[in-house]
Amino acid sequence: MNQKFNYVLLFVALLFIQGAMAQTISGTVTDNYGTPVPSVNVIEKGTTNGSTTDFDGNYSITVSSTSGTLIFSSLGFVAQEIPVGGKSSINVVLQEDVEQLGEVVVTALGIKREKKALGYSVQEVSGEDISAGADGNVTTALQGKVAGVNITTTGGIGGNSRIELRGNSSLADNNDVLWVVDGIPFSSGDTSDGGIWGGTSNGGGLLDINPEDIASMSVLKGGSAAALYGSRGANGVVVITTKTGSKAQGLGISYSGSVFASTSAYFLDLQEEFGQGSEGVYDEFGTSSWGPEFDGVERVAWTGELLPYAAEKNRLTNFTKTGVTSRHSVSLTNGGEKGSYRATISKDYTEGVYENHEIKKTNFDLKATYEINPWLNVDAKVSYIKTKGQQRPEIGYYSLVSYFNAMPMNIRLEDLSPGYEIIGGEHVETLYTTANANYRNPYFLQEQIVNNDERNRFFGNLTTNISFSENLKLRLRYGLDNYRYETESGYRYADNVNDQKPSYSTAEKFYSEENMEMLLTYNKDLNEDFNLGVSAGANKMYRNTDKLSASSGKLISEETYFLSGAEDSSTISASEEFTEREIQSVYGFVDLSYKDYLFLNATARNDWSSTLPENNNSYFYPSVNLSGLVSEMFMMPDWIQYFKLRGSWAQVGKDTDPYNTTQVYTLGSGRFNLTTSSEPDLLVNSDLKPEISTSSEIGAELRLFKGILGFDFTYYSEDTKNQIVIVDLDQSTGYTGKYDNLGLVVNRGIELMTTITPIRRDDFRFDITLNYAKNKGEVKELVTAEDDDEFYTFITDNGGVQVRGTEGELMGDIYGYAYERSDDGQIIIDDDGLPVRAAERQVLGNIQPDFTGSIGLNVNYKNFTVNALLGMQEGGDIYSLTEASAASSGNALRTAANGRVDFIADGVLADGSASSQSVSAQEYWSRVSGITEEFIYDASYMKLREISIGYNVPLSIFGDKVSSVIKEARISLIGRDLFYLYKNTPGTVPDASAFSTSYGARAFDFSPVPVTRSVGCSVNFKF
Amino acid sequence: MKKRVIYLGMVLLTFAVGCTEDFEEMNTPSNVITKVEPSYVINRMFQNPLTNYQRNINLYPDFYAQYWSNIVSSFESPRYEYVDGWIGNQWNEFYTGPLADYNAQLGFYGDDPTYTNVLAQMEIWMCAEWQRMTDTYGDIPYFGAGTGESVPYNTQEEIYNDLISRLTEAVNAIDTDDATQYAFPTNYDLLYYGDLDKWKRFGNSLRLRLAMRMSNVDPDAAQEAAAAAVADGVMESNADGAHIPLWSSGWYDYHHQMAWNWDNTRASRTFTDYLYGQSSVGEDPRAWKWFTYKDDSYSLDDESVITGIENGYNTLPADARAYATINLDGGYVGFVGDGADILMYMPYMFYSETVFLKAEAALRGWIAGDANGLYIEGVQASMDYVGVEATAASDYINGLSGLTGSNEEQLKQLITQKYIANFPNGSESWADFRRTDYPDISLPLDGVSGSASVAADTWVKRIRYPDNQHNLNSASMPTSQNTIDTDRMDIRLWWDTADTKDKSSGLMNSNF
Repeated sequence: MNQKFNYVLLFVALLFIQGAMAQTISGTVTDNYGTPVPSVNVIEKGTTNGSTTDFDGNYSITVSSTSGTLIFSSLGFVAQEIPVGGKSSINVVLQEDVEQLGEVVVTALGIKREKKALGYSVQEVSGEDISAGADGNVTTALQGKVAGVNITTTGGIGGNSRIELRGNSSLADNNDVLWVVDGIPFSSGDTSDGGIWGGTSNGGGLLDINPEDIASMSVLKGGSAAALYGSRGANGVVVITTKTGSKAQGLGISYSGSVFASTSAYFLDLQEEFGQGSEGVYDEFGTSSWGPEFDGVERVAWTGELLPYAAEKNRLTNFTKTGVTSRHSVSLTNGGEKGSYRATISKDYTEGVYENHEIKKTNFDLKATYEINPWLNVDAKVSYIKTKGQQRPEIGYYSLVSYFNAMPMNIRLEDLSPGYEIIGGEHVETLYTTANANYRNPYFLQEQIVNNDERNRFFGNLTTNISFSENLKLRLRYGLDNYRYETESGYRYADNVNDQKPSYSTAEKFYSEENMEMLLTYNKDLNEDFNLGVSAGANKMYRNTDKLSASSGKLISEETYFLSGAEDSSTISASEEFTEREIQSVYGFVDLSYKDYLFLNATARNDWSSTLPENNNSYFYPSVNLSGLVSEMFMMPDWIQYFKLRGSWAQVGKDTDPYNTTQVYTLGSGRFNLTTSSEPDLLVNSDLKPEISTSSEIGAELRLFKGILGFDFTYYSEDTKNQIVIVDLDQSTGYTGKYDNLGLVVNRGIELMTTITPIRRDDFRFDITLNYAKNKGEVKELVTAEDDDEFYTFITDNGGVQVRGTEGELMGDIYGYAYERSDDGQIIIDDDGLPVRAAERQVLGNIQPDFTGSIGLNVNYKNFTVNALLGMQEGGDIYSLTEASAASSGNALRTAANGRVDFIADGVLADGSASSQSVSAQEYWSRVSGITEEFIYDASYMKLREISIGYNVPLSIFGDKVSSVIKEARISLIGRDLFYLYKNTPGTVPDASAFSTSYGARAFDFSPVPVTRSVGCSVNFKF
Repeated sequence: MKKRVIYLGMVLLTFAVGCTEDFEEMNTPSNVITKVEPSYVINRMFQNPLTNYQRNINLYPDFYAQYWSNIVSSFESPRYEYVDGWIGNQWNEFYTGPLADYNAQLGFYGDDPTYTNVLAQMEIWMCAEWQRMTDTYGDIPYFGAGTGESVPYNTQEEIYNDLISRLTEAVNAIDTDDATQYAFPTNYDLLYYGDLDKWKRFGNSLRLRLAMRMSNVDPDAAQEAAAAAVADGVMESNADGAHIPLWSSGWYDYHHQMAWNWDNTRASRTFTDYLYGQSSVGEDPRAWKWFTYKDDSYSLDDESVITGIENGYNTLPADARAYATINLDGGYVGFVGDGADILMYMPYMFYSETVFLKAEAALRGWIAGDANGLYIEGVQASMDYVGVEATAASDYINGLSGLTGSNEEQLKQLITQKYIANFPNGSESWADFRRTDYPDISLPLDGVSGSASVAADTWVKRIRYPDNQHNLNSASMPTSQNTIDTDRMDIRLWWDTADTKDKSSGLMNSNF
């Protein structure tokens, strides 16, 4: 609160500074359809005095002379000069610049290029689109906004995300997208994923990016777009350009703030009719809900008290809390003749729905540019970021959600809470049955388990631009990404399940990456028709990490929760880990254009990587792309304004992690503190080659009916071969696997972006954006000489289920256990009267969707803006392990279906005759819970991802004094993930229930951190 | 312009271009070694059978020997189903663990005569582990395995014959008087703490165990090897027993965890029944040393006797947890360790087992000696090891009838006492049961599971090969067992010559 008060003081002070200004000219800028044009530069000619239009096309500028001239300019429009002529109000209609119809986008190496000249698809997302939803997480903010970008999240707030561009091409699940911020790679590292048996999820380095600072994001999806980034860009690149100050703009201050409330939602459907016990008999220490039907009659409960025997409803909803998120961001920009700067400070505080689960973030960013002399310009940026994660929750069988889903339905929260008793100064867990890892008290665990982390990062660059002549320019850049990352994990209290608690462990890691880069560019009009651009560059990347970890072993007591508090000092252990890698690169590209309607671009890069064997460590990637503006070459009908065809081809290579090519032995401390060492499980391969991806794409862009309708269509194909994977070996060789080059994965797909603007009036505009993407990833080849295996396993045996890529099939087949069936398809029943599970796993589905899409609706009406974003997936399958587990404990809704009277299961005996053996629901579901087939669901869904209603507060309401300094005031109401229009999973959601971000994990609906619905509001002020 | 060119030149000079010579050094980690001390390996080798004790041993051999019963409803193994994520680990852990480590040691030190003794000790241990592997599966990859290439499977007969000669050579190779020999620091030799004579007796005892396993399939070779092993000197006292210590700091006291903390196991009814009525005194004095009742939410009507729970329930009774479980306060050193670093010992080969092996060899007339006397000596050795007081032990022993009746009857009595004495060494007792079909071990209470590859009303006889082999090495597997359908768990191993179902009036006719 104190902090907010300080901000207010700052603003008030600044109001007075600004309030001293003189008279102004104001007006509105519209296009020839009458639509307001925002962000138009308004400059008083011959001075550095300038302003820009706001969201509604309004501007105001204080001029030094009433006889001067104003210049109105904006990308895509013909600039206009209008004499002031003593007027105090000037309205302007800008004409669209046909030559410049395509906007300018940021491409590889931060080079700005006209979109029309690109032979590949680039989709740019504006900073406004990113920040509109006031989502502090840049990856989730990107969700649904770019066709062919598939983002899955897990782990609740601050959890890990998977970003997949045009499908998964990697067998080794190495899909990391390269993030580049202002030209410098930004480490997305230190992510973590939980597994089925526990662990926590951490979104890692990407959490450090402040969405408020983003001016634009270019998503380079294909090989051609990313070819200039070499091996690191092989999975695609997200290029972020952050906001800068404007030389022309003078002092500006802006504030944005938001508050959100998130509540947990979408839990498994549970039955509320039967309680604790077995085979219909009540048992107060029972661990499942196979007891008698609820009757409200008092029985002796596990607490020893007489309690009414009734269902305890909505336990998870009541256990979780409302998470409050608040964010504040203040930025200051200023500019003069020689340079400009922008300084921002942001504070972000996000609460999860579990007690103490929090992410706290501070971003400080300073970016400046200065023109030293006419041929030398310097840009500098420095960012400091602190991100703290606290009490990240456990995932999987030992997650709080799992404990509740397995807990007998009559166990009451009030009896479990607070989760412990203090006995002899120590916290002792309150248990509803005998101590057992599967039946724990969530209240206790929430306080016992510690998972904290903190990253302090410095990130920045220094860039020098030298102009030798108008045609020859040199850019030199040094970038640094440097951070310290600390983690703390442990068990604060003892428990009865594992006698090695309490325990404490801590680790710290130093990460550093340096990039030195140069780029020399020559550009010349060869003659009237031809323009030639040639560039050459080099880059040296050096990255190293040092990690030190220590753990205590069992602690003396909960009072000694620190490293030296170990009961036996010999159990205190430490280990260190180093990695080091370097990539040296040279690259170049040629741009040739003809008459400004035919564009040819070719690029080449060579990398030398330290992680590959000496004879294989150099690799070359070429790309070529061509773009033609058909609408400029030929006469087009009136209703076609823009028609572009494009095509491209590229080849990209990828190296491997450090230390995969030499056999070495590590030392460890084993039992009785003896030094141990052993033969590694993986056989090294000194013949590793780089992976090679070859991609091609063709596309068309159309704008019709004066911009009412627009299409951008892409067809692409990407072949990835020589994949560096761990190939499973016959274990009797002494090794479980070895690194090898293997396989060919082919991804083919289409992307279609459609924009429709049915209404474009002065005060009313309606835009519809449709993104459609279809991708099929297929494993074409898999077999090598060493390996007669025909499939690659992404997920090994989680709850009996595997996710595989089989040669000749689509990637991501879900293999599990089906019912054993007779020739005519009937389920086989055994002598016990129970369905028989087939002996071998078989394909029960595939995780790849038929298509994914999003629908964006945008309405501007007077001062109101409404944005809605719907996300969807059609097809794809998911296995609900959540439901299968709850079925065996008698908690799943389905287990109460027939009132639990004994019944004869559907099916026939092995000899084809009818079964007469009746079974109880408990017997039946105990068996069926192990049969995967029963819990496979269609993963299709459509959800309202984001909706916001914004209102531009008319400045007049503030009164004259204030409105002369406030340039913009805006209030928005925002809702995220409010509801699903349709889905098929049993209460849970199909798109955010994976236990990790690994490729195969999306095949599982399994006890994630609760998914939330959020509502909030944001305010933005500009001064 | 000139200034700009100078500027450019300076920048390019500082830009280190095209130097990749230090890449190899960069790609080698700095915190590793390239040659491993034998002591760093031997202590890990001893841990191999224990590392995954629950999944590899408790859920299979321990249940099939009916020392323990399962009390978790969803567990598949009690009714003979195979679970790759459980005992499938044993294959992986042996081949990629001790075998790969041992092969690397032979590579490092095989040509250096100062390492003869330590390599022979490792060799003895490896032979023991090889026998456990082949007794689990039958034919397995053996010659040339663990060297980076796939090799053919060898028959169990080939493996047994080779193991007997390897053990003979290894025992003979140990030179107890050669001071120039490299020796493990004594704390690294967790089995015998540097006592080479004990190592030799352990090697010979293992040879006796291998020999007796062949009693029915190749009696001549068995007799020859058994007589040679005994002549060379087998274990002489409980101090010679092979017991693997479990460290109290950590989480390796599996029986304690499984029975007590995880509530996964209880004593098997089969075994607890053998703790009553064997001797005229009634109760076996070891019963309460081994077992007790957990102070729990459930209790039995009569807790004055030790009662276990039947093996092989489909749906467990609600009070399954009420049955007898491990006694951590019984003073039995196998369970409670030395009171300091060692929390428990896991038996690998008891001294009493050696005595019973000799008793059986004597019964068969393969070695000199009084079978009945050795039988009594075996029981006494077990009583001593468990810590039964002398009078209770002698009362029990005096109450035994001694070996009487036909050879089959005598063998049954002998194996029954061996079975009791071998508790909790499930691996060995399951092997004895498969070979001799003694003592009487029941089928799963609710029958063999329909999902098991064991015929109805038939005893499980082996473990099937892991998925890894079916997926990646099926070409090398025995042709009659190279598919999941044919790789059945009711196929008898080479040394298992008779079907338990042929037992008549409690007796086989196959053992002599």
